Amino acid sequence: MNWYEDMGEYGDIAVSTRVRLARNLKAYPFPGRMSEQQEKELLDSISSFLTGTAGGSAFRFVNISDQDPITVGSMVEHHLISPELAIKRGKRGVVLSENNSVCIMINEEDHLRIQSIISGLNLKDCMITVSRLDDLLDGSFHYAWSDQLGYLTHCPTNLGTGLRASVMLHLPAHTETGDIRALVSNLGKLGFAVRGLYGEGSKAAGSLYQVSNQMTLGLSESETVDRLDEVVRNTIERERTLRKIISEKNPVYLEDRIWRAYGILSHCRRITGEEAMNLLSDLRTGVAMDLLKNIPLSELNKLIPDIQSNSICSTEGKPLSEPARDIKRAGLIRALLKKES
Amino acid sequence: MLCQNCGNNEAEYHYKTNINGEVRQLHLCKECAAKLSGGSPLKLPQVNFFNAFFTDLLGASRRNPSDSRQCPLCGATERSILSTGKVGCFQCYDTFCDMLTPFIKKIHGNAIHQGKAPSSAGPEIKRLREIESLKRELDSAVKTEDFERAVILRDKIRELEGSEAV
Ligand SMILES: [Zn+2]
Ligand SMILES: [Zn+2]
Repeated sequence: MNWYEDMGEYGDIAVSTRVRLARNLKAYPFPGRMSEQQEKELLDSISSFLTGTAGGSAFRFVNISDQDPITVGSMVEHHLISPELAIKRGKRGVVLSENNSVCIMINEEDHLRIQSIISGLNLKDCMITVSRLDDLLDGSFHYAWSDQLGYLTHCPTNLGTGLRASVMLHLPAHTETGDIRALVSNLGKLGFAVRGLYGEGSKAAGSLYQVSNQMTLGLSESETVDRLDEVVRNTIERERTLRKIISEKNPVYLEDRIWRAYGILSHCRRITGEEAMNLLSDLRTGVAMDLLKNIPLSELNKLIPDIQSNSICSTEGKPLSEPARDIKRAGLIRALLKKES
Repeated sequence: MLCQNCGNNEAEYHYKTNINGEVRQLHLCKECAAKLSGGSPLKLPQVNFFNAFFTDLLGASRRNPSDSRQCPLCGATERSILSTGKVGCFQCYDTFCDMLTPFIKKIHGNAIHQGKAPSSAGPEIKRLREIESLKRELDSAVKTEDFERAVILRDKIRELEGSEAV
């Protein structure tokens, strides 16, 4: 089972929750100034520590330098590693839990990036998971730290708690009404960033947005997470209200759009990533509003990373041209909809 | 123009990003654009724009960074920090304190770290953290009207507050 296969509370709108801690060891310079020997030492000591008895044999290590680009790209698309870890040079890797819900990136921007990802809205459990791992590592390694600045990080923007908590939200009604602009600006004033699924921009792919904290210094972990939780719950309530307004104003419009999406997705023979993301967004709305039955949201969540370019190639075990990927993508989507209806 | 990601190749892909109304530009070479966007360089890549932001902040006010001052531990210089937006090691925060402090304040305000501390932190920090966490527990005990527990917690807090290091 993977992180996206278990739906949580608020799962109609909250797709997933992620929390990560940035940590550095006192024994080495930060990754940008490490020698190859130091990179190797750190990689070896952290990975063997976590995959050994300390980690309860629950972890496996993936050496990124040994992987082909398709596998690495697919890991990025599944949010198991960051794009930064994928593209940077040098010795680097990731320690993953059995179900991929916990990952510890080694030699990314910081020595360690401890991350937990859970489906739905679940900041508390994510926080507990990363804190536990943090304690475990703290017991055996000496962290870089200052009383004033907190956990010392490679980039000064992460100083303090080194905590980045984010929730991925599906906000089609905000996108449709244009309320998303006000949301981005209001949350910005409160110290939260809003980003797209795989990048920035006003209209995110599939109306998927990540809301995350910006402040790391001067706010404790629990305050940070509580504030984000509140902001996210309010946003979810607002999205539900907007959806209701849209459907009451013009019920046929919404229903038509959802069924059209279903029609295309269940019969198409080739489809680009962009069209798929947009139609799946409509489909997800239909499922969340109970207009479409028998399609579990968890399956739709799982489909999003699986239909991205690298993941399709990774499943096929070889690089594919764009037209060939479009055909495979259509097949994956049809297979899911056929199975469920 | 050189690629902002690798700094080696000519930038061919130009992206505009908007974070909370703040528009930034990102220039990437073909290779980096493809890597960052998972194969097809049309999609906007996901990069840490805070680095660019930080470099801007530092670069704007200091046009002539010097190489004369070096971190004794990692060898980083003002120039290397300004060009990457990142410090070289934990010691750099001491070595370049005067240069970094205004920018840390610009990013984070006048804040001092709150929250978790590692086991290696001094006993004074640990005492303060312990008091903070007991006070939170006390709050929730009062809220749930668990007064028996509240009294125990209050005494513990008093005891810790009285044990200030001399
Ligand atoms: Zn480049
Ligand atoms: Zn240094």
